[in-house]
Amino acid sequence: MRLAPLTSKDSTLVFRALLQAFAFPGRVAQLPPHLVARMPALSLPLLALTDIETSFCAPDEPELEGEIATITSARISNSRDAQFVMHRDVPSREFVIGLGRGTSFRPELGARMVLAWNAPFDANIEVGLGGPGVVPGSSLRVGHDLVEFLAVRAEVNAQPPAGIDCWLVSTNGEVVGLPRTTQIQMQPTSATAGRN
Amino acid sequence: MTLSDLIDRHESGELLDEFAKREIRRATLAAVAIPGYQVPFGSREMPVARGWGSGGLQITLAVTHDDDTVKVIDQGDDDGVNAVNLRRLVTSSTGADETTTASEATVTQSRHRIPEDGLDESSILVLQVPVPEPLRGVERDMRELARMHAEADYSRMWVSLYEDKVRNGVITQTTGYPCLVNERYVVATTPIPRWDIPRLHDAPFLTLFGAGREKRIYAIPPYTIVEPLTFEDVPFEVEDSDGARCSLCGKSESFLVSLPNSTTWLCSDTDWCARQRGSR
Repeated sequence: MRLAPLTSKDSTLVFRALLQAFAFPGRVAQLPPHLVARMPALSLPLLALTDIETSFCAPDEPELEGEIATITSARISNSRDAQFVMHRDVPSREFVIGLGRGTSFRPELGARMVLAWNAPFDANIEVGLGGPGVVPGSSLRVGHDLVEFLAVRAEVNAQPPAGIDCWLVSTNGEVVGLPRTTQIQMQPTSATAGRN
Repeated sequence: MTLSDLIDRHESGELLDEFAKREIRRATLAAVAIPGYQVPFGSREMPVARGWGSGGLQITLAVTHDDDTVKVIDQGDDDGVNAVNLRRLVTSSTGADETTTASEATVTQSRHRIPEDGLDESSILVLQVPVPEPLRGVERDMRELARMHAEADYSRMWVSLYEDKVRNGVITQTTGYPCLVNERYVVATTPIPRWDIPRLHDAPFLTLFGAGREKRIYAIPPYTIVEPLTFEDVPFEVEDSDGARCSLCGKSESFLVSLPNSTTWLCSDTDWCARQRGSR
């Protein structure tokens, strides 16, 4: 088993990093390094937030999916019904379109997605950010693989307040939040821009 | 989770179990992702009565760990009975340090006030909310309230403000003035005074609102548009103390409160006032 239950404090530390990431979209927060050294950073949000009351899926990580379910007692479900979705590779358009978005009456039922982020190794496209939590002029660098995902994300978030929220998590525990209210503008410049 | 985990937790004096914390955290994250939307949560029994800060207390306990420094104020006062007791609960349950200085606090729990200064991007402000529903005065049916928020149908709120203005010459609502957050949801900023409303707009800190009795959590993220509801020709105004000065520090630029049956004014934020006098 690669994963282990989080202690109460470790859960709090992971939650605070995720909260920070949502409060300041596009800004890099750091998951606890001592946890990142022991287990895949991608799994930490689910270990900290899920329990028997929640559903989740990790379709391209079946081994981790089983371990998370064992440790947290969270239910494995199909992607449409999953409250949390973990994905190692950039998901297909059909997959993202099919995620639960909640409704205007219950927007909180929209899926929360944890997606692997290859920055800073493949971050050569700068995107502009806007919306709550974003200082005007802020930007984020992403790889080519995420550009299509960001376009689909805009599509599924086009009817607020329903939508999906995302965390991008790198292997070394950097996490960037993209809640549904964050607007992303593709910019013509690339390669040299720094992150927010 | 093992039995020994539960025993350890019980003996450590933590007020919230791990399941409660996770549920509150999920609701809090949803609230931050959807600014102004009231997220339902399973409000737990706390060692304080509902309506006495149980919602704020639950949020504070769910976000705080032993590396944090906590400030708790009630009516701007660090030394009020409610503030002292809540601070004691939080620090004994989480192991966090305590402070009276907002700039030293990573988590500030408050009823009635936003500290006059010291909150920045590293700060989390938790407000205790007695009545989270801003539309309660114009509609009592919960299903209709849900529809109004879902469709952003706030017309009756506007009518209510207009009628208030026509009857009284001014919009009389003082604390909890309704505001539009991120141009989408109307929220109750209860129970902070009008004085603090402009300080929510584009604020560098995260504000979390917890209503334990009505089981709702909502949030205003940093750098978010917060507009008090008012009319183009009726500008929003904050409280005016008519040139009064604090009788302790002599300052007039903070929110002042008058003593009952007296012309004496004091700073509402007692820590700010003490620092002006150099006594802290």
